[in-house]
Order: sequence, then structure tokens, then C-alpha cells
Amino acid sequence: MCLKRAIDLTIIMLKMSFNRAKMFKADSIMGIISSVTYLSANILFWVVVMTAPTFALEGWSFQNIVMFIAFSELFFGLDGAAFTMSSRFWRVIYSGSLDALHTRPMDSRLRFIIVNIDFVKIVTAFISFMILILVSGVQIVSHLPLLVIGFIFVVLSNIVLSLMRLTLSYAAFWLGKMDALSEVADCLTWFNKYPLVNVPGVASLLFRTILPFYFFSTFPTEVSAGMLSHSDIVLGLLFMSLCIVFWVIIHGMVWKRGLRKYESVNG
Amino acid sequence: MKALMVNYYILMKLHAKNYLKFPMNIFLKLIYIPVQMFMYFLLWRTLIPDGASDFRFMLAYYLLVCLLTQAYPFVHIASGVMTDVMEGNIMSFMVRPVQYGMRALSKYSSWMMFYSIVFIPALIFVYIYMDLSLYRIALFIIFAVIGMLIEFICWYAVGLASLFMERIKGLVITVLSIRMFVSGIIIPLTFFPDNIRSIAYFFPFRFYIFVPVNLLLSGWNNYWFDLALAIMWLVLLYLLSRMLWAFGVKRLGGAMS
Repeated sequence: MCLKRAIDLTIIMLKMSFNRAKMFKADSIMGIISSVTYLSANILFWVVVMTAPTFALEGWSFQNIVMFIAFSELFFGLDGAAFTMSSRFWRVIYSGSLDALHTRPMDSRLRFIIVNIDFVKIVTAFISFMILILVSGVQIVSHLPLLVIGFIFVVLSNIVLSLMRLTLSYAAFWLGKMDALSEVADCLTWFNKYPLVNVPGVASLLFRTILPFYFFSTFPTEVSAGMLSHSDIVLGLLFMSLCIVFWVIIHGMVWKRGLRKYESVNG
Repeated sequence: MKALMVNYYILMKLHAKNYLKFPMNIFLKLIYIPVQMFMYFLLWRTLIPDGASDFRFMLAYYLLVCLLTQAYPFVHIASGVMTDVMEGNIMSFMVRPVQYGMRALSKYSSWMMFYSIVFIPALIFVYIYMDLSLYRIALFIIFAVIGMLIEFICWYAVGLASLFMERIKGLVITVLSIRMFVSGIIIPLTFFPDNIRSIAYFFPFRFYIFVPVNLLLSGWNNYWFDLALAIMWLVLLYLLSRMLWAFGVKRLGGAMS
């Protein structure tokens, strides 16, 4: 029942999102142009880095880098379109509108995320992902299962990041206005900008367990490019599962405690 | 001129008082810096395994770039003008004894003065870390101040475009993406291939980021040419904004009557 409501609401928001894009054509076109410019700047950076004799990214070819950019764009696209809003949930708590949302027939957090999804951004993220994968020159047919695994990891790590953002925004139950914490949550996506290779010991362990930064784009690229063995992939899956379980538990605990603390004038 | 300066001084003092009420805001803006710097540290440590001096250069370069790019929400200069145009607030400035741009400039410059509280320790760190001369620091400050003014007028001119267009959101995003491309934010412009570098040099954005930072860290001697070019850009952009205002206000008056 809850799932059906979520799907219905998603379809309504999807239609509204595309209607908006049609209505404000110039704005939508400008948005696409600027995305292309950002992407070009990113590619240019890597062209410069990979061609300069003083720099070297050991074990990574330019083809791998293009694949990394593809996964990175997909991650940023999904994050910007659907999950960034998780770090703004504190406003719902702070403004006292959480109790009003509790009377609705859907989980307040899920509803908050769904009504703020930018579907056009999801579509453009997929298109740029596909184009970049084609440009990277990878054999799509033979690498398809690996690409799908990579894609699943991007989605899963987005969900974990969203849980982390929500958990941080629950601090508003105790501390009120949480502008700074949402900034902290937003800057976590910085770990998706460059491949996380040769990360020193403790940080490397952290990035594969509690903080899933390694799974944002680096791991999906390494999987899809065939840089990892089967056991590495299974190990990655294990770490990712542990990470999800960890954040689901922490997120649930903080939410429950926060709700106990919550009070508003019911307005 | 004297009256103009008095007005400007009063406005600056007012904004400074406002900022003093929320001193933590300055430091909240810096939340991004440690994360960004850690990321850059990891990246360049990987990319430059042996070249110690290049690695130091890159770290210092990106530290200054981070601080400069996050010094002020530059987009707000343009969006503020757009809001005033859309909501009609701009009309009240026609009868005030203060020029419209003065308000935004005073807000901007008083914030930048406060921001130096954060910037000066970073500059001292770079001075020691890179073993720089005080002469270069002085040159950096001169170029950074000129760059800040260029950056301000650029965004102010973008904002004034709202006198001609209904909404400038798309224009702002386009300018922002071009700025990222040509200002030296992503990588020092000297690393670009010649043809792309010459495109980047065509825009004024490098005077706020690349020129002062590169001058500080590399210390090249051809800065007189850049200084002349920067001043020329400053004058050109000022004239452009005056022109946009003069023609735009006429259109605005027509629309209101």
C-alpha cells in the first residue's frame, strides 16, 4: 500500500517535472548547456593531467578515467536530482511542519524526497553516463554485467549517502537550525570528484566501511573496467552491505530518539 | 565625489555592524575547506609521487583557490539585482541619494574585509610553506584586490542584464560554468594546451583566481602587462555596467508607466 502511494506520487511528480521543463524551455536548454560545459571542464582537467609528463595515475588509463567521469556524472546526477534534499530535511523539523507531515498517509522523509526529485536531471545524468561510457571505448556487450554491477553500486552508495545526510539533519531535533551541518553533508560529495586510489591506510579502511566514499565512483569504475578480481568484487559487496546495515541502524536510532524529543505547536 | 565616499563609508559601516552580529558565519563558510583540501591532498599525492616541489605548489595553489572562490557568494550579486528588478525595489533607488550599485559594492567590500581575518592566516601559512618573499605577498594583495573588483563588476553586470531579460538564472549558470573553465579554478591555466589557454586569457575571470595566485607562487616577471590588462578590464566592465544601467533603466521606466 505504502509502495503504491510512493509510486503514484512519483508518477505525478515525474509529469510535473517534464511539464516544467517544457514550459521553461530556455531555462532547461541553458541548464543542459551549462552541464555540458562543466563536463567539458572536467574532461579537460583529465586530458591535461594524463598528458602532462610530470603527472601519473598509476594503473589508470585515459579510458578508465573517462569511465570514472561517467560514473561520477551518474553519481552527481542522481545525488543532485534526488538525494541532496535529504540534507535539507532539518528545515521540516526546525519549522515545526513535521507533525503536519506525520498525519499524511506516507512516511514524511520519503514524501519529502519524492516531491523534490528533479526527473529531468535524472534523465540527463543517464544520457551523459551512456555517452561517456560509449566514448570510453569499453566493449559494452562483454562488459554489460560489470557495468550493471557498477551502476548498482552507484545507486546503493547514493542511498547510503542519503541516509548519512538524513541522520545529520536529525540533529535539528536537538540543536534547531542546522545550516552548517547540511553544508557538511553536501561537501561529502567532494569525495566523488577524483578516483580514490593510493589512499593512506586508516582513511582507506574508513572509506570502504563506515564512510562509503570509495563506492561512489572509484569502485564502480574499477569493477566495470575489469580492474578487480571476483573476490575483490565480492569483498566490495560485503563492505557495502555492512555499510548499509550500519547506516540503516544509526539512522533509525537517531530518528526514533529525535521524534521522542520533538515538540511543536502543531501548526 | 566627497558625498559619494561619505555615503559609501556609511553603508560599509552598516554592513560591517550587521556582519559583526553573526561572526560565526565567516567560519561556517570554511566548513568545505578541510574536506576539499584533503581531497586535493589525496589527488596530488597520487598524481605527483616524486616531485615534492610540484606537490607543494599544487597544495598551496588549491588552498588559495578554495579560499578565493568561497570568499563571497558572487552569484548573489547578480541574483540580488534580479530580485530588485523583479520585485520593483529598484525603483526606490531612483529617488535615493545613493547610486544603486553602491549598496551591493559596500556590502561586498565590508564582507571582504571581514573575510581577511580568515585569509591572512592562510597567506602566512603559504608564505612559510612555500618560502616566499614579502614583495610577492604585496603583489598578490594588489592583484587580488583588483581581481575582486573585476569579479564584482562582472556579476553586477550579469545582474543588470535582468533589466533586459525577465530571468537571468540561465545566464548566471552559463557565466558560472565559463568562469570555472577559464579562471584557473580546476587547474592552473599554464597546464592548458596553447589554444585553450588563449581562449581562457580572453576572459576577465582569471584576474581574480589564476593571476594573483600564480604570481604569488610562481613569481613571473611579466606582471606589468597583466596589471595594465586588469585595469583595462576594470574600466571596460565599469563602462559596460554604466551602459547597461543607463539603457536598462529607460526600458524599466517604460514598462512601469
